[in-house]
Amino acid sequence: MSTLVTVQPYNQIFDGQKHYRTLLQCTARPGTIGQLDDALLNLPSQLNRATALLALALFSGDISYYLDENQAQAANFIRSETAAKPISAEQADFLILTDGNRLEGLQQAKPGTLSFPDQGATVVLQVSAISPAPLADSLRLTLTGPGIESETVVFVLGACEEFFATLRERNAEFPLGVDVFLTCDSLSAGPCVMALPRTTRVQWERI
Amino acid sequence: MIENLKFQHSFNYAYIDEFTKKEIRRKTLKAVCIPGYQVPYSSPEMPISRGWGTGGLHLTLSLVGPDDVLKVIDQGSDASVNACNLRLFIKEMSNCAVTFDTAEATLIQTRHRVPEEILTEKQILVLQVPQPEVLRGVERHEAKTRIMHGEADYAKIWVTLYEAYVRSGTLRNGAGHPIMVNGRYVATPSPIPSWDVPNLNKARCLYLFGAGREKRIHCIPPFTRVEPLEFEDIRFKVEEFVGVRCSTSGQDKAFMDQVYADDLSSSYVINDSNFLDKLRKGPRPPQKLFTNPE
Amino acid sequence: MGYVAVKGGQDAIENAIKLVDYFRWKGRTKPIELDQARTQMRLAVDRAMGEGSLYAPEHAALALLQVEGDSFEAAFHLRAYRATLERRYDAEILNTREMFVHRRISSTFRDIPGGQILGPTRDYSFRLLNPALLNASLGSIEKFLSDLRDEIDPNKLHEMTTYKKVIDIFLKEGLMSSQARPGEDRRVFDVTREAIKFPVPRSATLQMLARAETGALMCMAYSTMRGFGMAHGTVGELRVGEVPVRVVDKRGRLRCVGKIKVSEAEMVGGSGHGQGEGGGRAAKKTGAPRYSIGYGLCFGQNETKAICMGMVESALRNPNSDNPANNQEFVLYHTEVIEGYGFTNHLKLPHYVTFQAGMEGARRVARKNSDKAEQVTVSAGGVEENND
Repeated sequence: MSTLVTVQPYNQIFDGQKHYRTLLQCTARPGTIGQLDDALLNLPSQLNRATALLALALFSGDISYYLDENQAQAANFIRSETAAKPISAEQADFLILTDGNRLEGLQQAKPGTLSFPDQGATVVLQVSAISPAPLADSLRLTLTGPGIESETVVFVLGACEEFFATLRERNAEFPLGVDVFLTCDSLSAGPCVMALPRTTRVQWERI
Repeated sequence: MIENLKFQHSFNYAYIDEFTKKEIRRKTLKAVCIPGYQVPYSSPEMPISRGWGTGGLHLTLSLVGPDDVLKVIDQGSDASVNACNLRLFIKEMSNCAVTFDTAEATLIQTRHRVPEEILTEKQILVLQVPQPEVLRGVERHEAKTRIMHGEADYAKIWVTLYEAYVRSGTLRNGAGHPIMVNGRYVATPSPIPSWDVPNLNKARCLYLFGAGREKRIHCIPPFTRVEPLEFEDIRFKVEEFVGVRCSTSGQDKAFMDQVYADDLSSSYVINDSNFLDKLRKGPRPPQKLFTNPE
Repeated sequence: MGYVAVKGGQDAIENAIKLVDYFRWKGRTKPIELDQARTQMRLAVDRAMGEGSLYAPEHAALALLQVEGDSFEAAFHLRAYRATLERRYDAEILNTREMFVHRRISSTFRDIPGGQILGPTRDYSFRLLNPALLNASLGSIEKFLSDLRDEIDPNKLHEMTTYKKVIDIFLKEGLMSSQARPGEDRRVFDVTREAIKFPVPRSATLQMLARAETGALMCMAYSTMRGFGMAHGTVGELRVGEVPVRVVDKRGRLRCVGKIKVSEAEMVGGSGHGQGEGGGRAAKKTGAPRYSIGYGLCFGQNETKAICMGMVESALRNPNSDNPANNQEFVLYHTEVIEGYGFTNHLKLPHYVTFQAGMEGARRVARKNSDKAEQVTVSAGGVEENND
C-alpha cells in the first residue's frame, strides 16, 4: 500500500471481501504475513487496527466473542459494529486476547468435538510486531504443516513462550483444537495478520 | 400491470447478503484449518438449481471481488452451457473480469475436472461437489458417518475398496477416487477422474470444495499431503488412454474425451478446452503428470 | 455433445429462453394479470408460498405466471428471492388462538366448543368438471357476491372472532401435557442459517416440514397409515384462518406487522385403544398423559400439507428404523423440495468426464482379464458404448 493513498471509511462489502481474501490466504499459508488495507475507524485504544478489521470482516450477530478483561470500550465497539454477542471464554466462537502475555482465554477456548471440530474457537492474539526478519527480543517461530512447502520462519514481538506452549497442548489432539490469528499494526505495512491454524506445528525460540 | 415497488429490488454485491457471506467465510476458514473435514454451512438458495453448482457458487461469490479474473469450467470446458450460465451470473453480480485462460484466472470454479495446467499460489480452485460424504456409500446415516470421521474409523471404506478389487480386479472404477487428506480425513475429491487426483497432492494453489445441496464445505490447503486410497500391493492408477492421441492436436498425456461421428466411429479429443487451445497455438503449458505403478 | 458447441453455450441459453417465451405466447392469448392469478389461482399461490417459505402472495403469483404454473419452479423462484432478503426482525411466536377462523373442524368429537365450521372447502362437493365456469363474467361475479351478501345476517358478523382450541379439552382433563418430553431439544433452530445436525431439535423438524414439498410430505404421511407404520392420527383440530404476526421493534415495543393466512393441524396420536404409537406406550410406563400432538402448520390454505405434516411430525418423534416416515434423516432430507428438484434435474447436465473415467476403468479391467487384449481395445472404440 502506498502511503499516498488516502484512507477511506470502512466499506463493509469491498473492504470485507479484500480482508477476507487476505485472511484466507494467510490461513491457507501459515506464516504468511498479510496486510489488511486500512480504513478509517474510530477505534478504542485496546484494539489494534488489524483486530478491528478482522472482526469487521468475520463477526456478525450469530457469533459470540470473548474479550480478555473488562475492556468496556473495545467490547462496545465490537458489539455496536458487528452485533456479535459477548460471552464467556469457554463458549466463545472468537476470543480476542489483547495482551500476548496473558493466557486465560487460550486455556479455556473451546476445542470443538470429534463430530464437529469446526466448533473449535478462533483466537485473535494482538502482538507488537510480526516480521519475516529477526527483531530484537522477539520469538523466532519455525512453522511446518499443511500450507507450508518445507518450513517458514517468522519473528513475533509481544507474545510469550507460554502462549505457544499452551497452544501446542490445546492442539495436541487433532482434529480438536483452536485456530489462531496474530494481529499487529505495523508502521510501515499498516494492519497485519498471520494465521496459525491447528494443523501448524510451531517451534519457538527467544532471540 | 405491476404497480407496487415490491418488484423493483436490486441485489447485493455478489448476490449473497453480507451477513450470509460472513457465515460462509467463517466456515471456509475453518475448512482450511481442518483439511478434508466437512464443515456444515447455511447454504442459502441460489437462483440456479441445487445440484447445478450452488455450493461452488456460494464459495465463489463469497470470494469474488472486482479485481478478480474468473474462469468457469464444466466437464473441462469453458463453453458448456452450465459453465456459460454460471460465468455470466457471477460476472453480472460481481463485475469481475472473466477469462478462458487457466493461467490468467485468479478464481476458477469447476465441475468434475482439475485443469491440466499447473495452478499457482495466486489461484483458488473451487470445485462443485454433488456428494461430499465419501462414506455415504457405506453408511447412509449422517449421524453415524460423523462419528466415523471423528474416530478416523475408515474400516468400512477399505473393505469396500478391497471387495471392488476382488470383484473387478481393479481398485475402483470411475471418478471421485477417495483420498486421505493430511493423513487424517478420508474425503472425496469430487467426481474428478483419477487422472486429476495426483494434482491435489502438495499443490501450490488452494482447493475449496462446495456441496450446496448437502450444505458442506471442505478444503485441501496448498502443500498438503493428499493420497488416493490404495493398498501396498494394489495401487491406485490413473486412466491410461492406451494408444490414443488427440485428433485435433495430435498430442497425448492429457485426459481425453471420446467423440463419436454419425457412423459411430470414434476419435479422441483433449478434454480441457483451454489446454487444447494452448497446445494448438504454442508450447505445451506446464503440467504435472503421474506415472502409473507397474 | 451437441450442447457443448465451442463458445456457443451462451447463444444456446439465450435461444432456449426465447423458445420458452415462444411457447408461452404462440397461442396469442391475453396475458393473465397478476391479480387474476393471485385471486383465481389462490390455492396454487398458497402452496407456492408454503414451499417457497415466503409469505408474499403477489410474488408467489408472479412466480407462478413466470414459470407457467410449475409448482416446483414457483417455490424455487420464491426461495431464491427469499434468500436475498435482509432479515430485520424475528417474529414472536404465532398464537393461533387469536386466529380469525375461516374454517375449523375436529374429527375427535361430534361437537366442539364454538362449533364445527365447514368454511371454504371442496371436501363435500362432487369432483365433476364444471363447464359453467366458462360462462363467468364480471357481471355474474357481481351478482354472486351481492346475493351472498344478502344471505348474511349483519348482526352476526362480529359475534364471534376467536375460538377455544380442541386440545383445551385434553389439557383440562389431564389427557395431554403441555410440558416438553423429557430430554426434548427445545432450542429454536433456523435451518436457513445453519445446516441441520442429527438428531435435530423439534423446531428444526417443524420448520423443514413446513417448507417441504406437499406431495412428498403426503407420501410420507400416507406410508405411516398403510403398511409402514401403525399410526392413524385423528384430526384433533384443523383450522384455516388469519393470524396476526408481531415483532418487537427496536425500542422494545410489540407491534403487529400484519396478518397471514395459515392452515393448522393438531393431529392427536396415541389413541385410547392402545393401537397408537409412542404416546400410548409411554403412558403405561410413566402414568403420564396418554395423548400427544403431531403438529402441522403451513402458509395459506393447504390442508393436505398441514395434516400430513402433523402425521409425519408425530412419526418423527417416535423413531423406528423399519419405517421410512419414522426416520428423521430420510424424511427431512428427501421432502425438501428445492434440493430434490434440483438434484434429480441435474442429471440433465453433461457427465461425460465422469462417464469416460468409468469407461477407462472398465477397459483396464477388460484388458487385464482378457488374453485377447488387443481385440478388446479395438472393440472398445465403437461397440461397447452402444449399450448406453
